Amino acid sequence: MTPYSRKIPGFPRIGLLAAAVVGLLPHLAFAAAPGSDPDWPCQQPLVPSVSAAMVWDGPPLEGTGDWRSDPTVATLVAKLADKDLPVDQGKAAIDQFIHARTSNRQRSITQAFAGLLEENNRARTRVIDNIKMLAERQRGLADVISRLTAERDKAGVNADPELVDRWAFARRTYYAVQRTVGYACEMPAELDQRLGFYARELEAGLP
Amino acid sequence: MGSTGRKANAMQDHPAPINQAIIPAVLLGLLLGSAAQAETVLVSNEKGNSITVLDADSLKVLRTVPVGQRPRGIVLSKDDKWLYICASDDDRIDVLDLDNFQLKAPLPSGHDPETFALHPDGEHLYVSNEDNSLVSIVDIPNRRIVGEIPVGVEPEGMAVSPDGKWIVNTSETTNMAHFVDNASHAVVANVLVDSRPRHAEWSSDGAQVWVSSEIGGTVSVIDAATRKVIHKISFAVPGVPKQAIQAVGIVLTKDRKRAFVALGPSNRVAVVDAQTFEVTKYLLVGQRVWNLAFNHDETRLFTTNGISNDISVIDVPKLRVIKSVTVGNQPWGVVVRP
Repeated sequence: MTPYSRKIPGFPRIGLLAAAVVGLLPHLAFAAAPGSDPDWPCQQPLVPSVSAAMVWDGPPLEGTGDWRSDPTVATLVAKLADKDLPVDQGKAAIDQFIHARTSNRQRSITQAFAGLLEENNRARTRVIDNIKMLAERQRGLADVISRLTAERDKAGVNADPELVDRWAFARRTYYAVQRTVGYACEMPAELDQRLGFYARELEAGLP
Repeated sequence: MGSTGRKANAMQDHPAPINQAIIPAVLLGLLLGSAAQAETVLVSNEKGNSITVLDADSLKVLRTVPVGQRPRGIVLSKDDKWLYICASDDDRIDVLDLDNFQLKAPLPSGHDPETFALHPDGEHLYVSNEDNSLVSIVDIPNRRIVGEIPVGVEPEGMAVSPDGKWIVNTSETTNMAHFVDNASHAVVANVLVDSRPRHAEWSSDGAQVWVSSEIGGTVSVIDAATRKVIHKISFAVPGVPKQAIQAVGIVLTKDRKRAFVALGPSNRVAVVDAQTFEVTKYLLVGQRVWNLAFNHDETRLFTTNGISNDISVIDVPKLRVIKSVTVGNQPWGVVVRP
């Protein structure tokens, strides 16, 4: 198994929908994937955050000052942080930013990367928290399914149709949310892919 | 860590479309003909469902060949004429003719083949079937599965000893390297390694097996005679969180003096002195580096980078990343055809 980078348009909406659905069944369940964090459901091992050293080979970020203090840097970071922005438009924005910088270019580019890294980690943390929340609810739902399955098996052919319906609904919900979890597990890699691409573009503009 | 490697990323190459209406057919033939004489790099693209073919010297992409779904493990035939491809989601092994890049009739693989290894006889493939806890033995000339070896849960890495007598398989969930006697197909030893073992690599002299552990972030060096772990290599990259250091692909030089280990999302390849087991350098490559392959004389090392969708090219004598080249979607396996 390997991490993916599939695009998941509208993930927050899917996440909310899934959360709303699982909220109807307060206990869900779910075996955590093998890994060091038992609450992490993804096959891809959890990397909680990305450090500069993982993607940046430019000057150190320390001592470059607050990236928010330069309005042009802050504007670029805000634009690039939008995950719905096509990367070619992001690249064009970086090119424009670099060419407009005739002085302090290295400092500005480094600041831009610092901002991008910070925003990426913020988005990453949000995604990771959502994934863990879904996983926790799946664990609860699995408990519900186990209980309903036992009740249905005990009743045999005389099982109450309402019980059977609840059992079937719980199972459908579980598998639907499980698919959402599968997609969501690919999102950190998607964010990392964008970060890496922009980092390389910024580095290419260093004097 | 010099800047040369990363600057190289700015020079990414893209497959240049060949306009046959402009380039005369004769010239095209000459170009392709000369390319066939040089070493070629073959990369499986897990999500691109394709094989990217590059010239190992110029690093130009020569072609992209559509293959079965989710191609991961790839291996060359003994005579280098064929590429065997684990088409994981099609439950088969695709066979690509490397002279004309046509797919031939596929081989059976068992369920969900992820990786495999070729026996030195050139006639048997050992395939890890991740979902079935089995290793399937494929008889290539007779195109059938001739044996199944039960191993641990989620088998992954596969390696056959240089003399063909021993098979090593790693199991992701059981956290073991299983040593299998190829005469009896019996598991004769289970060697415990760190969490989620991924790749097994025999040294060319058959004396050692190196096993990487993705979650453990280590490489266990196993003495093949005693089947004991004689050393465990750990990695630490300044500024990189420990969770990002995930050991995956391994290659050893033929003289067993040096090893290279792909460290996943840390985006580093570790250079290891294979005599002392000391890590001597970390090279910054593309994102989520997964597998590695030398060219024939071990002067260049190619890495697949699954998130940045490229390969990195390492100058081995200089231990420098010299270039990155864009390939298909989620590159996974890599081999170099002489």
